[in-house]
Amino acid sequence: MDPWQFLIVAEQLRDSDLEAARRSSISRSYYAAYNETVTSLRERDVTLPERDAHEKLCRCLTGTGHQALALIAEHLRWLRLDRVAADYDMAANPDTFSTIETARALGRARRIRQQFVSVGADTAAGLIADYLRRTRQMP
Amino acid sequence: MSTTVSPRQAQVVPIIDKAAAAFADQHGLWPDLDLAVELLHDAHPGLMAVQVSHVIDPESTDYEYLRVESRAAGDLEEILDHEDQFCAALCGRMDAERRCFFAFTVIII
Repeated sequence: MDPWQFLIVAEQLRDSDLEAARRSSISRSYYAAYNETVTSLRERDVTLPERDAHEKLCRCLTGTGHQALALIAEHLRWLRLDRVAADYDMAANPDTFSTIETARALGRARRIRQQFVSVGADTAAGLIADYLRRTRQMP
Repeated sequence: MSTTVSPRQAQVVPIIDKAAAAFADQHGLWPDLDLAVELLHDAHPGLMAVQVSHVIDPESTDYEYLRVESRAAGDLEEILDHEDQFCAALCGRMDAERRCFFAFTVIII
């Protein structure tokens, strides 16, 4: 499946009256950006371990020392924590999942993708592979 | 007699919960938190409030964070641009190992 389909679902849910749907929209936005990045790397033979793969992806992107990849890492981490709140924090203030916040999550996912495309998947995969070889283990 | 308030004095004072303060103590994160709040002010002219809480990642207890939730006025594109500015400034001024302790979010009001 093309992971960007998750963003289509996020779009469909973004303006719902139902808080659960808006939370799901934020969650799908994250998974669109995350899976798009991971799939691009996997297609270039860069595979991250399954355990803690989300945080480890961010640490690998940062560990490359490439400025734009470090920015992507931060945006991914922040979007993931928004997703974690959406998925798990049932006591969170409903403002956190307003329609403007669903739009922000969508915007953030699109920017992550744009930034990744502007770096180039081949370049990113090469830098991460180098980083993994240098460290010989995951951070 | 008029009174002048410097931009620094006019900064929003972050509200930090007890667990977040304990986590900041444990890892020596106070200077990093001060820097982050300063950079948030620089990046978001419409910043209204900053709240800091402690998050244990529910999907991996190996990771804990200070979640810095800001409230800012502005339209969506403006806020996203400000987030990009903030992110670039943060990456330029804070070490990567320290950044791993933080997650930032801006609630648009």
